[in-house]
Amino acid sequence: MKKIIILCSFFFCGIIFSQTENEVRFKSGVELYNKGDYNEAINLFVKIINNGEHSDELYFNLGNCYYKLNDIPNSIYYFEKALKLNPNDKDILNNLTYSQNMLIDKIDQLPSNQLSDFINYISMFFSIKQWLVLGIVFLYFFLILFVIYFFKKDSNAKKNYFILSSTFFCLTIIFILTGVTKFENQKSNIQAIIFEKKIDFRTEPNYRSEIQFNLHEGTKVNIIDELDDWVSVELSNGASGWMESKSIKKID
Amino acid sequence: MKLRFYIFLFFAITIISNVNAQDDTISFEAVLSKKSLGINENLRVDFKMNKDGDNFTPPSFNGFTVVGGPNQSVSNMWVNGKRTFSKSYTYFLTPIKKGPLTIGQATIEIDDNIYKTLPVKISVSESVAVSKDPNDPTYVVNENLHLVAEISNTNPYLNEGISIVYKLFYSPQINVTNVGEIETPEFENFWSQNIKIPRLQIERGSFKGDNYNFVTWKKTVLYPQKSGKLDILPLSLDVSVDVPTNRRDFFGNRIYNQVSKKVTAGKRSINVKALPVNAPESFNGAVGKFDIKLNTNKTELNASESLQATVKVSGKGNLKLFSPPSVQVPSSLEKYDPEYNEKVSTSLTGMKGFISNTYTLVPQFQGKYPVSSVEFTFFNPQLNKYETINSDDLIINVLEGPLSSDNNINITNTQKSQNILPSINQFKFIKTNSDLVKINSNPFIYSLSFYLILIFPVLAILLLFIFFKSKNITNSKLKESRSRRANKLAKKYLSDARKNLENKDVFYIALEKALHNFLKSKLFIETSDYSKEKISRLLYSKDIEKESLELFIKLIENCEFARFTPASDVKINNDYENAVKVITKMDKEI
Repeated sequence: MKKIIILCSFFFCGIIFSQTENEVRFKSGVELYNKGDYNEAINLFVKIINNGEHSDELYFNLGNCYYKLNDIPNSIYYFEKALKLNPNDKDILNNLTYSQNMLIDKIDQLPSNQLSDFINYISMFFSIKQWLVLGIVFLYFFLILFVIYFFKKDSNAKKNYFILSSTFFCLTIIFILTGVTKFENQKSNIQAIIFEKKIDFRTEPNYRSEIQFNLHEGTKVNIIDELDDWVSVELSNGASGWMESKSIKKID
Repeated sequence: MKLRFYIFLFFAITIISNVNAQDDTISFEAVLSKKSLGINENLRVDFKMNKDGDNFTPPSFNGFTVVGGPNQSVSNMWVNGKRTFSKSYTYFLTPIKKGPLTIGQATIEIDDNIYKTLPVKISVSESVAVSKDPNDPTYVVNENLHLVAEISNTNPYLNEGISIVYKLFYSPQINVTNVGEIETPEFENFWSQNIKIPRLQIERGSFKGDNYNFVTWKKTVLYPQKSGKLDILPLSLDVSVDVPTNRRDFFGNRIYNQVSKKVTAGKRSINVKALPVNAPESFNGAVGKFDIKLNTNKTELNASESLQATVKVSGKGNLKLFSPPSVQVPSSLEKYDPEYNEKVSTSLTGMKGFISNTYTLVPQFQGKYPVSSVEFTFFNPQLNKYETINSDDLIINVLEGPLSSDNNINITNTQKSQNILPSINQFKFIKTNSDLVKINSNPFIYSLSFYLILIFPVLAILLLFIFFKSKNITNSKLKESRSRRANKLAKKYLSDARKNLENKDVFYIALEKALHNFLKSKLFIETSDYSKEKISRLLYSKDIEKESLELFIKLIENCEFARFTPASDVKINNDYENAVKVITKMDKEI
């Protein structure tokens, strides 16, 4: 029994210690960045990730370091990761624009319809978890109000409580559905960054097929399909084709 | 007699010779050096006349090429007061084909008469062995005149520069008086460039161990454009040579014989090696040794200003045969078509110098723009391998300008109030604080806790409802049974009351109980909270007619009064009937 207690205490101490260690790393990484030692800063930040912790700020800092080192694909990769955790951060969007200005490829956006634009715009307000948690909170509100409605004898008050509770019920449905659709969208819509200087964009997943055009490092693509060492990707301008999977890195 | 004959003969001869001399007949004839010759031999044709004429027209020498001439020679001789005139046009011919050939008629106008030569037939046979006679001028020329093509490398790689130099060697014994080019080789499948020779210079050198004079006639730099065996067609020169003879002139100088000779350098073939197949992707045909440079005329500027980036390939090799690699810049840098520039000098060792492309770049937005290093691959024939070199990376800093096209509108709007602009679009510093969280490999959605949190309260509420529902049901059952029993009791007490119509006290107690139980069954009130006010209020709320309500209250009052006051039979009867009436009426109404 004693042994178990000691073990447990060690375990918890370990957790607490590692957390503070990561925070120390983060702080010293920031200092190194400020001194201009970007490589060392990257080392520290990556260690934090390897230690099993992350945050949008951490990814943002990594993106900044790589930008300073003129490593375009890495900086875009980490900015995109940061955006995944925090989709509306102005700083991240600002610095991502800087990185994207360094891109060689210029890919036009396909015009999208306004409805899906609007839905996208709305779903960008919160992350998936936030949507779900809010939906669950609304569900609780709805349940409480419904119980109140049920036990109220006064018909007038009953009416009001009914309206309120049904509103919350609708909100619950909307929020949870938004979270779920966003999650499904992201799952089916895996994005990746090209890490090779120049890659061939082919019509089929083999070397015999025709090269459609070339793409360069840092360009973001959507993965549609995978076959052996090849991935089928789609660009934001609607063009699709195959490229070797070793030359891209998925944003997950 | 004999003497007379001699005298006659003498006279006859003198007369004849006199006649001959006096007649002075005009002759015009073609004299050939030989009537049959080998195809490799030269033929000399003299058109001789003994009186000067005009408008000499040579025949068309069909089947021959004129390698020399026409040379004119005129001789006047006075022998014993007699003038002998002779004029000749001399041609040197080489037959082109074998078989019988004819030299046509030449014409000349002498003393307003036109004279023609006779056509002469010649047979051209197979080439004959050159005579080894050291006194034969052709032999001497053959031995002492050589045209040599010197090729620097007969086994080059594709696109590797080689040079070909034509040298005319002649031994000091003979003199070259004139050289003319008959056939200029066309270098098919080669990129060629002639190197100009400003003045022919006689140099000394050795040829096959002997001392010779030589003249460099032609220098050409060649870049093979095709792999495999390529032929270089021969260069043919027609050379006039003075060959010394054994004869000497009056003053003891040697007499020279002029000989015209066609010399060819012979057909040469060059075996061009193809480049190795494992060419890197950036190889664009450059063969030689090169260096690459990428530079810009400025590295810091504002958006919408322009700068120039130059890619320069310098070195030695087939510079004119490829273009410099292109520069790749981010798409937000506007790139215009490059301006090509070259400064290449060609010498025997090949092309040397540089080629460059100058791009004009205009940045659109502020930020940092990497101009990625230019990769350039060439084949180094010396090392037999491909070499890839890279230029330095360049970074262009755009200090001021909009950040992206999306922000453009904002920028132009805020430009009026200029103080705000710079701070908006700076590259943001990293974040100094962070709430680190565990990297959650399992998303919250679809997880067990998600479902639990979602479903648990719903289940809890449902259970609550079920509980309440069941409680309600038992309650109402209880009520129902209670009211049924009360109703039964009311009826029982009412019948009791009827039985005791005579007994006042018992009647009123029974009536009161009947009324109470009736109320209990209908209004679910307990006997304890039993007061007139409450009953009247409850009944009022039940929408009972005022008449029966008042009657009911009156009956209850009567019951209470009857306990203390005497009552008549009539009143008892009346009360009973009223009670029955009210109960049935109210039973219907409630």
